[in-house]
Amino acid sequence: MSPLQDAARQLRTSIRAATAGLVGRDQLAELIVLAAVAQEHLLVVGPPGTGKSAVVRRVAQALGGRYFEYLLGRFTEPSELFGPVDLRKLREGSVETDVTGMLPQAEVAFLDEVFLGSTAILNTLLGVLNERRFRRGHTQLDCPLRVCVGAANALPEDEALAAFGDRFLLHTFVEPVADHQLEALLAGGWAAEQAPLPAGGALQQLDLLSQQLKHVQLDAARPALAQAIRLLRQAGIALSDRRIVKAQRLVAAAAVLAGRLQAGQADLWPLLYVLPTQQAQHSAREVLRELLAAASHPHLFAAVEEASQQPLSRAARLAEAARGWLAAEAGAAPAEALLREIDANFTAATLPPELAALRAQLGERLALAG
Amino acid sequence: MNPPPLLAAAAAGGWRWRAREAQQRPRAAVAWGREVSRQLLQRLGRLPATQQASLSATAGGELLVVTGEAAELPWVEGVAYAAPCAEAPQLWLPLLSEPELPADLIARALQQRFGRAPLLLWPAPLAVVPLDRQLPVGPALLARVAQQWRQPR
Repeated sequence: MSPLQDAARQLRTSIRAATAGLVGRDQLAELIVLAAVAQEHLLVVGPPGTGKSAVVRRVAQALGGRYFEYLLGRFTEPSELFGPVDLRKLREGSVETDVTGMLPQAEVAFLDEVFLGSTAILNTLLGVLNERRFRRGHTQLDCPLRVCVGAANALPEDEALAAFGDRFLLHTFVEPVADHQLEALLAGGWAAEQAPLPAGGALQQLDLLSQQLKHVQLDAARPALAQAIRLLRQAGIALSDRRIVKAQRLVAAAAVLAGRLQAGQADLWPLLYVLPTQQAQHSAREVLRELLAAASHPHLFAAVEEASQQPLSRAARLAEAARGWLAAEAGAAPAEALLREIDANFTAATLPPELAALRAQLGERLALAG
Repeated sequence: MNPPPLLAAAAAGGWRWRAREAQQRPRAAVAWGREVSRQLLQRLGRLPATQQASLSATAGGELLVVTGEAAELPWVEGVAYAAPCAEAPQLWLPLLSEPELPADLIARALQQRFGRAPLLLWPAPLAVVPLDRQLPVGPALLARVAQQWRQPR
């Protein structure tokens, strides 16, 4: 296994530890890691109480980076995010900010209700997000920020705020957990509260992958990416040139997270998250159906599945779940649920060989248990 | 009863089925054939009473259809899954195949022919199964189905 593949695998283990018990939130954890490797930021739109902050906190814990979290309000002062003015330096005539333990020192940040920030806050944030540079008064610092996750109940209608929202390259929309998952939510939520937070240490792997981004060969992916943009335009779904160009970072990040330095059509799926609105993402799934049919990823199952919503993308998740059950054999019900989901998604003719083998093993073990 | 013209036309190759990707969650487990339907019946018998109570079933000679929420549906080797059609909720179809004809037209044609709803339309064997007289799954129903299957025909 190459160092790149090893780092990608370890990062996957960290994501899994971070989302243990958080029902239906794997996708969010995977997108945080994708954004961090691409050195971009993620905007999460959805109602409160959907576990957004819990996921970011646990991913940050798994990465082991310095974490900063804040719930913004209309009256939030810049000092609450960036730190207070250093009084000692002020006496000497210089306006400097004491950033100890504040956003400029964070490696992972979560800003809830991010659009409620004042103009002063958003302007300073722009520098931190875009250039990873904090400027305030006489203070000018490089920021170690890997990823900022912004959250909001809805996308802003105000143009200036929309422009700020555009700085988050990835947009994702979370819903409350579906009815059929309520039992799992209750059981998982209870277990997650008791379980210790995952041990950190994955930041090193993340940085290693991030550094490889510039070496990724995009030649094989570019024609398909251009074709995808053409199809989106034909369907009336516009993307700014900036977002189109930056989408390549996500495609490259998907490749390195799969342990590869060559990106191909299978890595196009992050493009869906570059579309800024839920409606555009919904329409794009249909428009890009053929192009995304090849979408797959050995580690980011949930994010790929949500993007393409096609059987091949489900196969990887089902295979991992099957391997997990076969290793642990934790009760018959999950195995039966897995077999049901496999058979509800694949016929004998369409079942990928690896999943077919796992299905057979599950069936045998279940028969023995029954 | 003669086969409805729709099924006769399908049998004569007048229209075909095509594969489709699962767009919905399963709402019915469908077991065709002697072996699979018997296995499904046995599986139902081993389910906890609470899970049994959340399911309903209808049985034929070599057929057992169990309906319920996806998370409660049982699995046995050879079982297939079905769900109501999004365009015509009174028509239930396999998750992984669909007729080439518009579903709403099929639903209307079958409704006129059978006067019952909902109806499950199945490709192999080609059949229409009324789902309006499903009974709650429980020991009494399972025993009755088992007894019916034991009787010589």
